[in-house]
Amino acid sequence: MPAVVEKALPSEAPFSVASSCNTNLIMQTLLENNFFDLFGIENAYSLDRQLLRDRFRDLQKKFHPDNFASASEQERRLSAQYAALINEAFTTLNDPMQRGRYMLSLLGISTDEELDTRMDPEFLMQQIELREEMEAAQSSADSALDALGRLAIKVNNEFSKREASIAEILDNTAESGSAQESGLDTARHLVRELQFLNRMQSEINDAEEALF
Amino acid sequence: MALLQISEPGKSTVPHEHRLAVGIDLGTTNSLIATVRSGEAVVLLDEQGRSLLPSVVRYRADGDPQIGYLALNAVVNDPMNTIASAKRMIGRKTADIKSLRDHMPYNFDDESANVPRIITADGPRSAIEVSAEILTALKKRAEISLGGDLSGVVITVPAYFDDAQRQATKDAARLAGLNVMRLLNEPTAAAVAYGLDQGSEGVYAIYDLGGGTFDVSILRLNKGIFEVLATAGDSALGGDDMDRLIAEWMLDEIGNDDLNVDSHFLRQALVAARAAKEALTEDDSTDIELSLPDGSNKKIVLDRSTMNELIAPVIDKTLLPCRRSLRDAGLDKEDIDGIVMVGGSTRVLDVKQKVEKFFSKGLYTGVDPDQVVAIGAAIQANILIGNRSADDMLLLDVIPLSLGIEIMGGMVEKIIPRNATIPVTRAQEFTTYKDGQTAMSIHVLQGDRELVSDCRSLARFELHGIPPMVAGNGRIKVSFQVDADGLLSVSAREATTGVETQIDVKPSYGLTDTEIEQMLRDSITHARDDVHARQLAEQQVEADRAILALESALEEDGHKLLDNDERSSLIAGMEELKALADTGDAESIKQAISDLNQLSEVFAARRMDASIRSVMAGHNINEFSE
Repeated sequence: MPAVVEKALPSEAPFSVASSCNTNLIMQTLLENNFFDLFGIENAYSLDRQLLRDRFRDLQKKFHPDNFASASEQERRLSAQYAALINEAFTTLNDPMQRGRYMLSLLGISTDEELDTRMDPEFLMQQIELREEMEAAQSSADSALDALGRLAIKVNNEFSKREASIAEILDNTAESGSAQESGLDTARHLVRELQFLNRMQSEINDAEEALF
Repeated sequence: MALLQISEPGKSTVPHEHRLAVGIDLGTTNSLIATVRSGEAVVLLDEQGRSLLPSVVRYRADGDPQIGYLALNAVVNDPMNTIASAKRMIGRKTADIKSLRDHMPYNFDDESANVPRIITADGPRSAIEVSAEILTALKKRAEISLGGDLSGVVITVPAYFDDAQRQATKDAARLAGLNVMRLLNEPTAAAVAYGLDQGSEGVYAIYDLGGGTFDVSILRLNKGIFEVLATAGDSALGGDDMDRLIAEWMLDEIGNDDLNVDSHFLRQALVAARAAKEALTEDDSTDIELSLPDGSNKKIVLDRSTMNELIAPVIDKTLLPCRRSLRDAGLDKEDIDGIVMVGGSTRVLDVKQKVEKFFSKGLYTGVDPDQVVAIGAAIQANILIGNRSADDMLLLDVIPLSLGIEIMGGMVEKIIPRNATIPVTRAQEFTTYKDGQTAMSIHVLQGDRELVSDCRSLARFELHGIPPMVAGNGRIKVSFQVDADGLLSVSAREATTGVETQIDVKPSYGLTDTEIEQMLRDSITHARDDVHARQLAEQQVEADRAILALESALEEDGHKLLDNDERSSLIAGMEELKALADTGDAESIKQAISDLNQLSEVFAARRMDASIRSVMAGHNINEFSE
């Protein structure tokens, strides 16, 4: 009996709603619309995060299970599914990396790292340097916290730069209506780089935490 | 922020429909019960006018268990049968308790049991049963004080409780015959009690240090929505640990460093330590008197600065979760508008000082830190039961620890990250790794470490019937769903070949249904109840609930969303259930409820669909007018 399993390549379904025999039927309107439509905001990478948050709250005020505590059993179950999907939509759009990945998936472009392991050599070099910098920072006895702080700012800057580039590509594509393949390929790379930078940020945080 | 006097809104239900709902703070050291009465949240008192019920149960060979103050008085003289701090043990396995064991005087039965039991004069008792006794005592208090049966309760749990601890708490409530509408996180409850004041908006840290648990939550309050951004903590850290450190110091002072010799003496030392700690919130130094096992008496003096040194490790240990919660919320200390202090242990002066220094922000301590959680729970219970509209308040909470499954190499693949807003649903696909593999074993884990051995094992189950395929070709989709109580259910499905195999599990390190029923039968407290009568009453309440819900749904949307045939078939089903509820037995009523539920499934789906359509249409209108 195998005791373990292996992670499969993530599938590209925009929604990962738990399987219920007729989930798709009962959540028709939700599934027919993308996350941007759900919140009634423009389908664009640059978004008004305050508006997104406000709309998210409006939706949860209506669909959160607390509103259905004395409703019928199916309505309680449905509200949990709706609320879960609204949470997922919000989490996805609120996070720059996930938002990029989601928008590309709507255009039929996968950002799977496991399908394609090629990375820009220059970016990889930079990653190695950043990592070395982190190790050096950690081992600098009395100024470790400051060194890690400076490194965090650097990584954040790299992150913001890519966010801006992704916005330029995706939002222009949306405006002109014609997807430019090379542009989208660049966007795909940038989104994957955001993933690496995300990981870096959380490692710096861990290193900071370890100092206490 | 001040505690708001909540006035009942005009559209509130007519008096005879007012249903009794309470909030319960099931604490490590003390428990409380509160309700909203005439629009105001109040803690209910016992017959002697006391609000706290010590969370202590004493089992006796010849009589009902003693609960609360009576039991507390026996802590020193009858330590083996008098169980305190059950909350530290609930939902934990024997191995987990072992790390706490050296501070607990009890004898446990079967080491390998899923639910450890303490050997008492009245037989082996689990932490779930102990908690159920405490809940039963609180329930009685409420029913006497409110003059009727409770329709629903909200029970608070530490935000950092894992799935097994939450499930076990729910099991205890079930044993006590309570209808749990929601498990509410303690810091969130405290925020509700403080923050209903419409004026207070912003980001707050809730620092909750109780007798045996520590939580910190970062929470954004905006227009009546309490949005938890992150939570962190330690479900086995609290005032108890301070007491133990002080007791160890005391024993050291009198030249006795063996903590395990005499459970009677140890208990006495712990009680004296707590009294000294409490005295030092007012005084600079305090006298401690101990009667030694040899019969002599000894007096020692403890001053505040010595105590501060002794308990510093406990306080310092709370600051790391504070840091982590800020980081997970993506915020800096400067973003925090204030700190709400909750839990009896925040009375310790050095706790206040260190927390204030850490956040460099003012502390809110206006509401009694012992009562604030129960009050928040009562306010939430009042909304959930339908006595007050939910329009002006909503709680959005998170799960405290990541959830995942075991993959090759003893590693954990996270499926839901910590601090995800609940309810949450995530699915991930996994592949078979051997040629011709027809079964897959799925091990569900909770925790933030990468290795299986460092995480909490919640459940193991097997998916059978996978058609034999080449390795990697069998795809199994594992779905995790966490509900608004923070409880997980998992399903797995093989869908590659169209031959679907599905399995659903509710991880439970608590009790099985059979065990609970057995306990209900066995328990002295319930011996007088007729189990059948109780089950019938439960089903009748369920039937009423289903009928009421459907009636109001039909009134609202029955003509809009159903055609005549659909409507009359639903009404017929409802009438059938109504008739059966008066005459039938528990089993047939249960069946009829389930039939009616099935019958109204499409209606419920259409209502939700119509509702989301109207919200989305509303957004679009706003968009044009903006």
